[in-house]
Amino acid sequence: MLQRLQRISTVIMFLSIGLLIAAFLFNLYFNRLAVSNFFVNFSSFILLLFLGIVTVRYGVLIWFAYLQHIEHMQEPPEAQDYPLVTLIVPAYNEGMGLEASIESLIALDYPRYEIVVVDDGSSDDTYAQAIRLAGVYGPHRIRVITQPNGGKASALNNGIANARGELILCMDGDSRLEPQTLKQAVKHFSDPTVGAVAGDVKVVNRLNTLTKLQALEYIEGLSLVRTAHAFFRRVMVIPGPIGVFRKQVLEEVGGYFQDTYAEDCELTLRILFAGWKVKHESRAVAWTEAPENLQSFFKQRYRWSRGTLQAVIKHKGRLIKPFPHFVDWIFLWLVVFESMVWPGMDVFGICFFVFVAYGVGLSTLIILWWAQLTVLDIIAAIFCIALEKEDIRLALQAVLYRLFFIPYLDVIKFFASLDEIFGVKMGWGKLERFGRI
Amino acid sequence: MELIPLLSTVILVATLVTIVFAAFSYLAYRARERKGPGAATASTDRAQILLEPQFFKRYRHPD
Repeated sequence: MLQRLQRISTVIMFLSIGLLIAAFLFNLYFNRLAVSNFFVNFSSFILLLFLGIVTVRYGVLIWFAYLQHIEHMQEPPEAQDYPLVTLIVPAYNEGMGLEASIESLIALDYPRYEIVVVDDGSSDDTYAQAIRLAGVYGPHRIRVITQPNGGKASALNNGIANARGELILCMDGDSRLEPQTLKQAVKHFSDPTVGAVAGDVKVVNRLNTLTKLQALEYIEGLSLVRTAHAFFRRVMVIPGPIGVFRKQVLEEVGGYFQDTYAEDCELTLRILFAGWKVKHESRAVAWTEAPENLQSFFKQRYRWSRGTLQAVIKHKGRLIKPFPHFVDWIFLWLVVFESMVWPGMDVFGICFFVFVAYGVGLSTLIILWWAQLTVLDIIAAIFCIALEKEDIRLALQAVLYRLFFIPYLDVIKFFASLDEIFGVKMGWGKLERFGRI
Repeated sequence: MELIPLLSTVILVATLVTIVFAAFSYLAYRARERKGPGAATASTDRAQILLEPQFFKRYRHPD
């Protein structure tokens, strides 16, 4: 069975790399035909350069994600010993989804764990719901803490301070975990140099086009990058909905800080820079509720973008010092590339080719630009869907993904970066939830 | 109408509309942030909050 899976993965991986090379050569051929004057030459060169970088990016990510997948299949199927794990559920106005979230935790297939619900000064019935659930399942399984509203980082720190477990699982109050999650994540801690394990996040409410596009993005955009980084034991962002940490590591680095809007990214960077390995476990799955309308989606992504930039700025000293931590330096620059350079390139590319189309009449170029990015997205999507045994129909969304979703997201990142650079004020806000989990 | 000009027009229009729409979303977001009841906090203000040691300070409910 294992060998068969390996063969299938190998075929998919080589097919993907082959298609990537074919896409690049196809582009090279068409651009050679288009050459007729300096401006067209220049635009063709820019197009080729961008697509070259993108092709290499996808190729490298797919290659290392593949290697990680092969390695992952050879690991022991689950944990050999079972240290006590504390599951911390920070909850601010999660009254609607808390019960489903707790029920998924009660159903976990793991012998030794406790649940700590931290009510972050909710104005709804979150605290009452948590107390009721603690009454139903018993205080030995669920403990409830309440605090004045201080934000998610503060609630998680409160939970960490009250944790009894050797390992700590941090999650969102609106997430649901798969039963095998703990057994799969805990096995990595048999290596004493592993400080944390990032799980896989999937969108539960695939109800409209926006949430389906986010489902695709979580698989192709986020999980692919995380899996590729995991090959080097350097996952750069442990996602908020599921991360497992050694308590010792959290104490050593000082827990969650509140000076950025992406506390998960910021914490991960500190753990990595403290010399700990951060791994990824694709079978530790958290289902989360994605924003269902553009207003909530904008708010969430704007916050993520600014938060990531803040986290990088906190460690800006490392960006200009490649030694002695050369690999950390490379990965920090990768975060900069993924969060700022690549979206900036995309926005620039779109504007450039719109200008070329209207100014020079070379509208064919924008078709090539769009078609090849879409082909790359579809290849990456199929690879990731095969790897994660996801719904193949999501690959069809890749057309809309490139046409609408990515330009929209890139513009958000562009404005978020500008606002962060100029210190524009922003609030945390609270995303609208519908209790879909 | 030929396929290439038709496709290029569709992609151009879709891309431009998306970018303009995203820019309007940003303006609407900024307007909502300004109207919010003192919700907005500058990055530097948040950094100030850190000066008060909060980490691992256990809160005990008054009841």
